[in-house]
Amino acid sequence: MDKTWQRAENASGNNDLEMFQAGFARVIGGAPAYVLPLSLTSYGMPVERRLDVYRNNVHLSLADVLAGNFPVVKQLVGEEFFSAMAGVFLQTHLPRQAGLIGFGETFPDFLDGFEPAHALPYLPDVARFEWAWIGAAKAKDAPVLDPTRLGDVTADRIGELRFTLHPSCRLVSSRFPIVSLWQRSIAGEDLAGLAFEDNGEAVALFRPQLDVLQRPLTPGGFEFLKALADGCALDVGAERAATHDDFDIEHSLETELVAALGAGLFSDFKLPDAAN
Amino acid sequence: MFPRPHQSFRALDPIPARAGIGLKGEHMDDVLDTQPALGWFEVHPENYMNSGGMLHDRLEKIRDLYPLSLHGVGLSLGTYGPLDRAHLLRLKELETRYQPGLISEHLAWCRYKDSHFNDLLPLPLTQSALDVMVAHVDEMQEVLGRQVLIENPSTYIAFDGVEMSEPEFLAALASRSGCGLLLDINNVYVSAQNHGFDAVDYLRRFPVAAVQEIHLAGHALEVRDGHEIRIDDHGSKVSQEVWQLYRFYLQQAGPVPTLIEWDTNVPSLAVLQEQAALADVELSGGPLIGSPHGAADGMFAPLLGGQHG
Repeated sequence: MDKTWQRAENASGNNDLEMFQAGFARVIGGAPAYVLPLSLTSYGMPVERRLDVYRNNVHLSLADVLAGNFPVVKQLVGEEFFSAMAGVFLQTHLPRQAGLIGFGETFPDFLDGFEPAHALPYLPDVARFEWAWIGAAKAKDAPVLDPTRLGDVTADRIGELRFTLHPSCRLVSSRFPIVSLWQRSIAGEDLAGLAFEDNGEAVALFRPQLDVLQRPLTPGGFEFLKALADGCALDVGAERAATHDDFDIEHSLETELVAALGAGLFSDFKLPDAAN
Repeated sequence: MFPRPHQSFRALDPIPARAGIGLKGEHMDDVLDTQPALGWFEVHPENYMNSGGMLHDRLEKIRDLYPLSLHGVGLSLGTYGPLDRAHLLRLKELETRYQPGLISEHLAWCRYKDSHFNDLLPLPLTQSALDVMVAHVDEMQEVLGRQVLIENPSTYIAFDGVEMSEPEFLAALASRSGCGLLLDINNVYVSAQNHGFDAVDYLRRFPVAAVQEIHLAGHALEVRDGHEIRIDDHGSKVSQEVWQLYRFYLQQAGPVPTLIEWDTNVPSLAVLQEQAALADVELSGGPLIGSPHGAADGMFAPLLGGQHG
């Protein structure tokens, strides 16, 4: 026995298990053992060192999940920095559900505000790219749209088409060259020589079968797909895209559409009833 | 595009009383290529609680070849208050999809309100904890439409003035809820060493009739502030002491489906197969057959010496 532990007040009517779990949740966050409403036996090792096993398990296992979901972010900042950064993140962002496939969704936004990492201003966008990649990899399986289904659409109504992006499709755009950066990092190549300023990139990540594919997008091409993802008809999407110099309604619309159909970026389409 | 032609055969696969291994993502292609002579596989359903992609494709193919067990780590049966119904329904979806031979969870908790700790946290073994566990196991079995197994955890703290021992608590849980039990012998050894109780005595008190699966794994011995503690990290081979306890248990209870778990510093599939082969030898009678209980006690004398303070 180490010593007499201070016992928390047990207000009458509270379940002892609930009181214990409320206290233990605080212990995991760093509170000492005396916040628990019951005392612990020691058997040699001091109680606080024993509780450290649980504190470490929680921290290390969740930091591992984050590192697994954001391997390039980890590579860019180094293992030690990543572990410390994960510690700060976990103080305020414990998982909201037990399945951890969805853990890390708020990590890119956290990085926006994480000052110690501001020397790498592209880091949050790299995290967004990695999150999009996971989203594409884990999305529900679905067949891609067979382009021959569009055979009955007459030329005068093409602009009214509304496409459904494939459920795996994720669109990412950055003012930094995130695609090149990610590819070089994954390949273990040096980042020296990569121009970061005025060299933005955009990409569609999608998984028509089992492997995640990437389709580089121009600024107009990104705007175009973004509009379609928002539910816009083809002609509205083209108008939005045409605000970018690289997108010309006459030519780009057709080439972008044919390329997207061929790649398998869509899973379905709708044509509003002509009578309406 | 993703039809599964053999689904109708899956229900015919109960988990055999042989050795299986915990299936890791990095071994899936190897398993499909080499189709090793293993009795069955087990996965954590939490890693499959999305509906598509590569892991599901591989698991579907492996399920067509082997019996499968789902071993949950996230339902938090021991949390006071309502069960996480959404999580339970996701588990139900996986049950429908993969038709596992066994589904198991833990005598532990891992959620408080909306925060998930991703670790199996200890429960004080009180009457109110038992009431919560019984109610949650009842609900789990009702939703899944089957009996589930509950596993003894490894623990690093113990409570003053507990009302029940772990074997007593699990026996009461099995009796009141009708659940089966999953006996993790490495956890028994780790907890026994960490708290100074007798692992053989624990096994003698364990409700053998309810046990339908055994777990074996490696653990780590760490020294903190000059004090030893055993950490259940599933990161090495099964220790000699745990093999001895396993042999002792099988002599009492007969063969039970046995899983080799290895979750950190995961080695090649071949190393896991070797560990499974050792378990299969024990399951088929072991290298030393016919040791009566008295002899088994003698075997444990050196192992357990010095623990009874």
